[in-house]
Amino acid sequence: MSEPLLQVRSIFRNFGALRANDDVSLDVQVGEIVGLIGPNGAGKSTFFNIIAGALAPTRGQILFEGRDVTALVPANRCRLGIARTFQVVRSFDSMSVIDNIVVGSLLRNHDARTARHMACEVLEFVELEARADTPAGDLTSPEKRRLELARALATRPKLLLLDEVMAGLTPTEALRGIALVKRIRETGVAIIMVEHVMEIVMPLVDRIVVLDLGKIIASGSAAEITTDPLVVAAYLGDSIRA
Amino acid sequence: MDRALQASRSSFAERHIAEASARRRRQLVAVALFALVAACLPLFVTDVYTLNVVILTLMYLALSTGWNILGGYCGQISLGHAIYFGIGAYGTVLLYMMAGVVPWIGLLVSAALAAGLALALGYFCFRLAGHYYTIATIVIAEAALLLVLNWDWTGAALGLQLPFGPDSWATLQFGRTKVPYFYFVLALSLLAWLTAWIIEGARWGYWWRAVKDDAEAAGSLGVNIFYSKMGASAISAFFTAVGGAFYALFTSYIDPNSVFGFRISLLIALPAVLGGIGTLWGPAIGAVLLIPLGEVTRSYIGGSGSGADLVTYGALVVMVSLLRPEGLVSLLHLRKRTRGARP
Repeated sequence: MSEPLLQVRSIFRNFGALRANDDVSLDVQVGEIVGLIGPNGAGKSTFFNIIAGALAPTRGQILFEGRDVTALVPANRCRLGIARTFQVVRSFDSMSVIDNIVVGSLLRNHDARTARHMACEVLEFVELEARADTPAGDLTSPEKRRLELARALATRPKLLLLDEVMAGLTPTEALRGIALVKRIRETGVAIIMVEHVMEIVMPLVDRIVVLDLGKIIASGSAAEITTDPLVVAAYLGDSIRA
Repeated sequence: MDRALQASRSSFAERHIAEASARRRRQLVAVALFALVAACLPLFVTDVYTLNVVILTLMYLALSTGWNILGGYCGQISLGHAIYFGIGAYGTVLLYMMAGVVPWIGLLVSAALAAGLALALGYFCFRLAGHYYTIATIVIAEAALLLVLNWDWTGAALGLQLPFGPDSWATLQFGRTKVPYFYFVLALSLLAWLTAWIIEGARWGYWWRAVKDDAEAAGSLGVNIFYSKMGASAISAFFTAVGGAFYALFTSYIDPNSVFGFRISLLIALPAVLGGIGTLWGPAIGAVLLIPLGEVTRSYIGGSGSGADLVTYGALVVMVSLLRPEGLVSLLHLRKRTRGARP
């Protein structure tokens, strides 16, 4: 097998006395879709933000295409091909929908006109073209999630980090979201998607990684994960508390 | 990615881009018309006082447009732009008096100095976010005011009087008529507007607005937040200093309070805030309303000592922030905007 696209090696992250990530390692292959799940407080978001560069690990190393990116800020990781969405949607509300995407597509096109052309194509890809000139602040929240995806895609990533993109969507919207992720997958972009709800990731991913209390407790196909006693215990425990 | 994108390539992009370029062209046509009308003003305005007000209005229009590049597009609210204004004024006058440098060169040198200072200050200040940045700009400008007030080689509190010479475009001195100053400042306003227009359509403009709306999200899209703020700051300082140089030549007398004072910082920022922060036309609309109003209240209600003009500005700002938080420019397009959707 060729070199993995992303190699995360023994990440530790402490918040005071709390160890949010405890020796977490993960390899992602080119074009692979990995689902990262786990109960509340498992350390998913911490791990996600460490890969995106928004948080620094206490210890550990991240290699992207064989290159050490541990010390790079998010902007520089994005240049290398790592793009992300945010758990709480962060659109540029004073700008129009299309301009939001142009911000992303300008990374690969210095000329604003070419960037706009590319942004239009991405906009169609996420089926938001009817809203092109609407201020982003006026979008509904499922639309904002798609806009965020479009913005990230416009930077032409090799690895896309999706942080609970399906959260808060109605079943119909979620289906639409799943279809969109499938289309992104067809383009060959590798994806790490964090989701709280297991049912959403199952049909989409090649592999599921389960975090609990800061450690990876299981990793494998959807079928393997659902029968894993450790996973069942972690999730049942969570649902009883909830 | 590429394959799927090419499959969806359609007329949408073409149509959208054609519309967007048409919109940008219309803005150019509009400004050309305004400039043409403005250029004819001296034919009708012969009264010295009125022409004076017109010149000051255009000066603040240019200054506020320059301020808007940093404050409006990039979202870094500076209330200390007087420091750049002062450097432009003092730099040009001192270079002329001490080294005989013609004002044309002098104003470019001082503007470059101001841009350099903006970068140096930005290196430290852009580590501060939001209100803390604004407070730092006020403090730094006040410190500069105190320095100049106490330096003998800048004339200290007495200020500097530009030596009188014959009317000439070379030295930019005109004692008999103010009309040349009018054309100079009209050109400066156009240049500032054009710079803003170019920025709006360029890479930097998109990146700066993204930094303003959500710096972290901008960073996640590959935008270098720090360089964005530095670039905007340097361009903004440059125009402010050119404005200051113009002011010095126009009044031919400057003292620390009149060019480094907080009042100047306010007058640079207010038109943009009033007209619409981060918009192309906002600073112009704001300046055209605010400056004549301030001048008129000052001369009819009382001298600058009574502060009647400041009261007027204050009242206007309160009214606009309550009724039209997006600025007066939003009155121009009352179309679809739903106000409740914004936080």
